[in-house]
Amino acid sequence: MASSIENNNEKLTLKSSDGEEFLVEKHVALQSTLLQNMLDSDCSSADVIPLPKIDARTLALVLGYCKKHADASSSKQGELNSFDSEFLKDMDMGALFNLVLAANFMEIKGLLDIAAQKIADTIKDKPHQEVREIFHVENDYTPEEEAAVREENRWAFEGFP
Amino acid sequence: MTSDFSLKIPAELEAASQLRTAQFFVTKRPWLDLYGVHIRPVAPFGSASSKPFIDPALLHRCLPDELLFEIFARMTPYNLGKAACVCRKWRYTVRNPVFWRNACLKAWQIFGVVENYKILQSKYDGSWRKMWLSRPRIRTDGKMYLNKYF
Repeated sequence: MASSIENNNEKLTLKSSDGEEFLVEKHVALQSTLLQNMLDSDCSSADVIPLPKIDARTLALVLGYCKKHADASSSKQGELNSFDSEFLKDMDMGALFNLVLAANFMEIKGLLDIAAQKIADTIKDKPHQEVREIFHVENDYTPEEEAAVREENRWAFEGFP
Repeated sequence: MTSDFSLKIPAELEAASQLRTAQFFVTKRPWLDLYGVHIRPVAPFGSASSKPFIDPALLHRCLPDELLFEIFARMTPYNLGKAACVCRKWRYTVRNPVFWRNACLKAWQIFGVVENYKILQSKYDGSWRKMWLSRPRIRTDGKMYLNKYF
């Protein structure tokens, strides 16, 4: 068992929620704290690991991120940063939300950071009416309540773009 | 006459006992009056409308509240204040003291964590949000100036 774990070429199989299987090199899988813990707790890597909350499209993206970061861990940080921003560029909101879910579930902190930051950047510095439109959030305030909340947060609108 | 009487009483008794049972099952629960508030039984989930409520926001359907927190945790206090105006759920999430504690400890980090906690208790009733809103601070966005709201 121990000798097989030391083998760098070892691969494991991940199964997405929609049944697609992904063969992943172990050092790539180790980007995920969840998978790392599973392997550490002597979970046999011969087994297929089911990821019931993550669909194939999202899992492919996640593993692409993991591979880049696993392979480039010793290379320049700048290169990784430009990869990260390119990675999320032009990604639609639905895919971003799924990435946040997957990164949270698989405990990949770097990916959770950049995906959540991308959503936060979409929200920030926009009027709340525009944010509602972008995210299809229903305004569930009564006009009186909205006026009160607006007043309560007046400070946030003052002297700011 | 006697037969009529004997028939009538059980019927009345039955009606009365039914009434008492019905009363018990509907809303009168006299022991609740002990609390001095009128407590109504909660309607079963979804019974208020025939259609199940589907949130039009994909964000809300996809992400549980703790992940909405993760997104808000990456915004400035000013953007949090604006986000609170979007809807009730967002306002509730923004109320989380963790955001305001982090903002305060960053804005007044020069004082040190221990001193900030002392000031929190002595001047701001233990509310980080209150401290953020009312404690004078130097804002360094673009130009540097002293900022105070109240």
